[in-house]
Amino acid sequence: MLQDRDRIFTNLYGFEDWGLEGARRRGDWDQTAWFLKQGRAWICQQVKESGLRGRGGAGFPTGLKWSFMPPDDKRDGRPHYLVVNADESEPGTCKDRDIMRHDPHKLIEGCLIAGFAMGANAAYIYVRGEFYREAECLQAAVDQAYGAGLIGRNAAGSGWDFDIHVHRGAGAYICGEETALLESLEGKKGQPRLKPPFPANAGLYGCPTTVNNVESIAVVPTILRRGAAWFAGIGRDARNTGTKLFCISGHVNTPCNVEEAMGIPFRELIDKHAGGVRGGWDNLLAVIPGGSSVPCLPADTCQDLPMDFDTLAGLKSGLGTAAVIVMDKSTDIVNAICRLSKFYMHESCGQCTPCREGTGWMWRVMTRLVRGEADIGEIDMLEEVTYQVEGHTICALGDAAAWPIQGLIRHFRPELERRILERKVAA
Amino acid sequence: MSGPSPVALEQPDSFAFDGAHADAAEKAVARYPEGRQASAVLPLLDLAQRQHGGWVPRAAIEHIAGRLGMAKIRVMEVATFYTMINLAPVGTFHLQVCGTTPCMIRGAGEVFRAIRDEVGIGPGETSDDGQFTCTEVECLGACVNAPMVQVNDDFVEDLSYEDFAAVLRALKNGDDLPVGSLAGRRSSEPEGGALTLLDVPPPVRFDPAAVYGAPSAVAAEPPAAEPPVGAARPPALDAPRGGKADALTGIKGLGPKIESALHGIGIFHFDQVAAWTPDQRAWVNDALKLGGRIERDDWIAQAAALAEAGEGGA
Amino acid sequence: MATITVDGSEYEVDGRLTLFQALQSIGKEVPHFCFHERLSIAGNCRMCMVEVEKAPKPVASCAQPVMDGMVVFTDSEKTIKARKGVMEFLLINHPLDCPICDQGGECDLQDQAMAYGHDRTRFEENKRAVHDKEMGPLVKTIMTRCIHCTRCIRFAEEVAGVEEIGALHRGEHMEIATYLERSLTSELSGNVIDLCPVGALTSKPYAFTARSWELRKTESIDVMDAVGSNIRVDSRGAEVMRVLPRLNDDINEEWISDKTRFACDGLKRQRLDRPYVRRDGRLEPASWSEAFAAIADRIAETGGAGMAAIVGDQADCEAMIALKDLFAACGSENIDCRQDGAKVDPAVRAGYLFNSGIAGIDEADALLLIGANPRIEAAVLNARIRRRWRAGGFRIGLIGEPADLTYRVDHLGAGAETLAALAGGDHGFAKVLEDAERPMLIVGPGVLARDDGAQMLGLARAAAERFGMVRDGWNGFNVLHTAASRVGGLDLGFAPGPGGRDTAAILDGAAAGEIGLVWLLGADEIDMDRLGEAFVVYQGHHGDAGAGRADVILPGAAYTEKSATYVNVEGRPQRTALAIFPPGDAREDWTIIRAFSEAAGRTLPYDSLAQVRARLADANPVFDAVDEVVPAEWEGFGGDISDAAPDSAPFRSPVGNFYMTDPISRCSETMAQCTQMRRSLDAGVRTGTDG
Repeated sequence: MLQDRDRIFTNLYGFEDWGLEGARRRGDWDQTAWFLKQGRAWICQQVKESGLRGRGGAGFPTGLKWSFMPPDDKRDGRPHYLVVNADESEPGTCKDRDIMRHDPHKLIEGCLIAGFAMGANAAYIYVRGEFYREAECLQAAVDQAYGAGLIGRNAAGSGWDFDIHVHRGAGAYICGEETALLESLEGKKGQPRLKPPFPANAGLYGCPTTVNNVESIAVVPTILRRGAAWFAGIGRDARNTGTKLFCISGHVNTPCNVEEAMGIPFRELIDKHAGGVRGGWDNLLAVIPGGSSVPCLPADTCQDLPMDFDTLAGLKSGLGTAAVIVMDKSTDIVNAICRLSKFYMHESCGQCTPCREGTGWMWRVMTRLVRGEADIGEIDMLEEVTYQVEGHTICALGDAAAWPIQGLIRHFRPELERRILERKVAA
Repeated sequence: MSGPSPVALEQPDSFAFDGAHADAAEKAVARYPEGRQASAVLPLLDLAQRQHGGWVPRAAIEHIAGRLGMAKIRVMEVATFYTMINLAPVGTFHLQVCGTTPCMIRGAGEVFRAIRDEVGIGPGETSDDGQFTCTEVECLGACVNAPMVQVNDDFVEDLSYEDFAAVLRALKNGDDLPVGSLAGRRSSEPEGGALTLLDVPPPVRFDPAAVYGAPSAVAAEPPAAEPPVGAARPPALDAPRGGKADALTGIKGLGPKIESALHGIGIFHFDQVAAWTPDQRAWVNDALKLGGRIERDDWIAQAAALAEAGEGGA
Repeated sequence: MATITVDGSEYEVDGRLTLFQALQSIGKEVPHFCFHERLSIAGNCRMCMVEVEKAPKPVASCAQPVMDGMVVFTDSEKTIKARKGVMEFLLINHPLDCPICDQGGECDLQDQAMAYGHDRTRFEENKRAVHDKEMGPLVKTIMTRCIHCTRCIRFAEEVAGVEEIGALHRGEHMEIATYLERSLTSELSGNVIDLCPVGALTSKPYAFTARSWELRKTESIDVMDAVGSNIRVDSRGAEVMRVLPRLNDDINEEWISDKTRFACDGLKRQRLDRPYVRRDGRLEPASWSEAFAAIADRIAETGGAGMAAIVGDQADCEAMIALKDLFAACGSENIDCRQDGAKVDPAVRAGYLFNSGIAGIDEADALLLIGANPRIEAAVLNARIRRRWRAGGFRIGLIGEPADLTYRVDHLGAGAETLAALAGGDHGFAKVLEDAERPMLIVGPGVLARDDGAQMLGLARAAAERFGMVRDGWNGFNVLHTAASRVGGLDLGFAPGPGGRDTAAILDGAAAGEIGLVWLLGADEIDMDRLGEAFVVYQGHHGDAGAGRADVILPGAAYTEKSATYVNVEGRPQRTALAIFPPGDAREDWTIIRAFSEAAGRTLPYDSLAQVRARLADANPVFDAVDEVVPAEWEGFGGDISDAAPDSAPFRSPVGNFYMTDPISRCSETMAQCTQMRRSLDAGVRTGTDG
């Protein structure tokens, strides 16, 4: 288990002052300018060496992403932007919320360092609209930072000018997709863009832009203070490093958020922090290990399962946002997945055909499968439809809508068949 | 919940932001670069909704379109795309019940039942007295505190049938909304008390030498604002004469970044630049890392001409 | 260039293309719905996906740049599966109403379903139903059929320049609509009907009137303005059912204006289908010979000097040359093809042409509009100006009344004074024109028709020369006409000969009793009250102003009823074709004049269309170069610019109501509805009831 001294978010639960004074006591804003004086390339290099992978779900190496931004000698006069994705909406996920309301200065300081590392003089933090209080708190912290000269002109005495703006969304899961987020930030519907061009070439307002998750940005100051080697030394291997905020929801005795080491075994995570599975380990039915988009895993695969990117991908699931949704044996698993299908239908932006039409179709078939009102053959048909959606859409929402159903069919086909047969017998 | 949001049949004739909302709107628009005012469409729709009692009338859509230089249809597209924008009146208390799987499996159904029992409405309905509107919403990002409801701007978490029924009774009585966990939790720590962060050592003050070895080994760039003082440093001013610096960016090859660096070394006027000696030029070139552009773009001649033409002034 | 491998064969393709374009260029048809080469790329239908080696997922070819070494499969299992999947998704919520759908038979979805659709559905759920949307008198909507390709949205914003269509709501509830279900305020709105790949947006006037396979399709030319849009006239029996655009990249690309498309119902109303002669103050049906005799008698009285001819805006060149020859044979020089009195000089062709060519707009880098409102005077040409403007680096200055032209203009001033200042280099905008490599100007028809039109034309010429608009390989001096007949008339010399009278002098002469006979060849826009006691022959196809004043009516053919030559504003002769026969006794116009000449004993020396056309070519060799533009020599023209005191009135467009500008559109019910719709929208905007 991770020791408290190696935890980054030491005010995760908000027992301490979220404000600037409390933050300084926790070590934030300590000689920030020194990092900036090392130069853009140096910062990117440190982040690369730390092994940090994006905490928003896709797990793309953060330092590498930053290095896609045009370097100083290739700038063409367009401003660069850092955009922070605080549109936390993936079902099961509620970690960025805690950062914004309890440790906002980690995010703000991270913005300055990351922004500088990508040559940006401005950052927009896109907070999901429903996080009204969180956005208030974040804005208050931004105001504190301005007041203390930590951001703004000559931010933190670094010589670098840096502005941070908090922008609230208004209710659309799709805005967590980075290009949809940019569209939304530009005042349009949140419909994902075609790629290429990628945001590093043409992002916000057509300018070079990098979009990062809140957690990815907020861990950077601590990584730099303690050294990349410290961060890289935590975790199971060199590709899965660092600490990670886990959100443990569902049928555990004490659901909670907790910062743990990447790769912590599933059972240890649940037992140590969440009071174990409701009704005991043997009562476990299935787990969605990384937010609603990743396929579920049945209980028998979970015991020693290391919770990291590559292990879970190897099981055709994923770490995603590390939002662990635990389901015990009382769960109507078909209905639980069906509800996710409804979610994706509701959140489809409607732009491209397979997602617009497919998400509704899948949900409607799923509602029948919940009641067993289907033919056995429709299970295969539904699976085919999921593959007809997956990989054929503009953004990953189509994939995300397909995967939970694929996971259900992969691991719980007998349950689907049972309901159909029982209904047929009853009729 | 999955159909498009309804649009009010009765609409006011006009809309304009009032006092505090007008100020907030102004501030919101100012957050975005010149020419990108459309970025403020969501903030303005939100403000309009707050001012207009929880929904956005058509007149506000047209007002915002005009204000931001957007086509009305574009604002309408946005207003119908995002679920938080209401185009018809909602109750004083908008009960936005999360119905997505993490809440569903922790008893969101019980919350709906409490609303049905106490207020007599289901998802998509408003109580006859206009007090309550119930909406089933998708995951609100408080999953470890499931089930939960957003009432207007606030989250009420860790709900049971009884607890939420009590909340509704309290609201009907005019009492305040209890915010946050109803199970006694501070926030997202496990119920019964945090198991981590109990023993956090005080942070070690950051010492570059300790973490990164000798700072000189890596500390390459001195900040532009504080160049080393040398023999050939050009005479500096503490502040621009008359409080007004010349627009140094008028010199070709000199952008806003360099301009601010020049201010940092006390250079504010064309005549100052025009008077630089070769040694001083070399000093500025090194100090600000200009890569020879003073000579290449002939700043001295340019500055002299601009000083002559009186192109100064901010 | 890039080398790509497609289905096992290597091809060299232009490396700047998208994969979709590259595949098209090598003859590989890629099914698609949302892609349209004249609109921005949306990539939303996903029908054009192809398998690309090393790509983990099928790639939407419309949005994928070609890359050297790409290996593409257009017929692999993966590709076919992707397309079939998309097709299935498109069809699950598409109604099975093809038998009652006006798009049936010319529907992209129907066609592609033949190739990629399943023969039965697996979709057991209820289909989605969507409320239809009101979009005005031209566009009918059946929104359940919509496949959300967003072509209409992109067209409205990008081409038409009216951001009025959008997609409301999201996900499967996404619906296409205009703001508050209003009509588009565009002169090009009908093009969304052609763009819609399914039957969601169809033609309201044409609704349920015909099936596409029943129609005879005749390729022709539009005469509702001087652009010369290429059209296809679809007819059934004796009726024109609809008019559609025909592709011509040099002129209208694939757009036509709403007037071009929808005024055709005017062809069926108030037609002149037999000769009439006025007896005792009343027009009475007559035979051709009675009508001819009445005219011949009158000519015998007036003699050559006492007779005159004015042609209208839709007269064809064959009729005009015949009338010119007839008048010459009668000894009259009093002929004019400028019924609006435009002060253009027939002798100098460069002085009345759109010299840069319409496609030349694409190459220009600055534009000066002098009293021109291309949006209502030449709507399709205006779309090209807008496109050029959108591409950037194209400042546009406007002298004249401020107007929403769908692009940003620098409003320089109202009239002559500003033009004089600019022509003298004394105006801020002069710098823009000086710095431009290929500047152009457009003189509008309202300017030419002013009393000081010649002086204005002279100033425009001076400006063109000052700013280097005329140089090797580039002539940016452009005159915009609204009359389809105008350039042809000038080219063949339908203008007063030595000592002859122009339109104004003809009217003065008629009012003064000096002109005893006026032959109006489709001329309806003159002030009929000024014809005094003159004997009026009206030759034309509609009972409009001219027929009302006529003493003899000779029923002619409308543009859809004859093979005739029109020269467009660029100086490009093009030919209409006969789609239906003229009604009743009406005849092709040149044959009427030929017949009259014989009856009057002054037989014209041609009696076949080929011979008339030979005569045209004889009058001006440009008529030999059908569909081509013969560039005009730059010579002196225009009035003396030093003439004192030009009229201080602002430049005004002669087009007050875009929808009704000629006898056909004035008879069109559809155009009447559009007029009313636009007036109510304008009134709404003025009173602020729509905010």
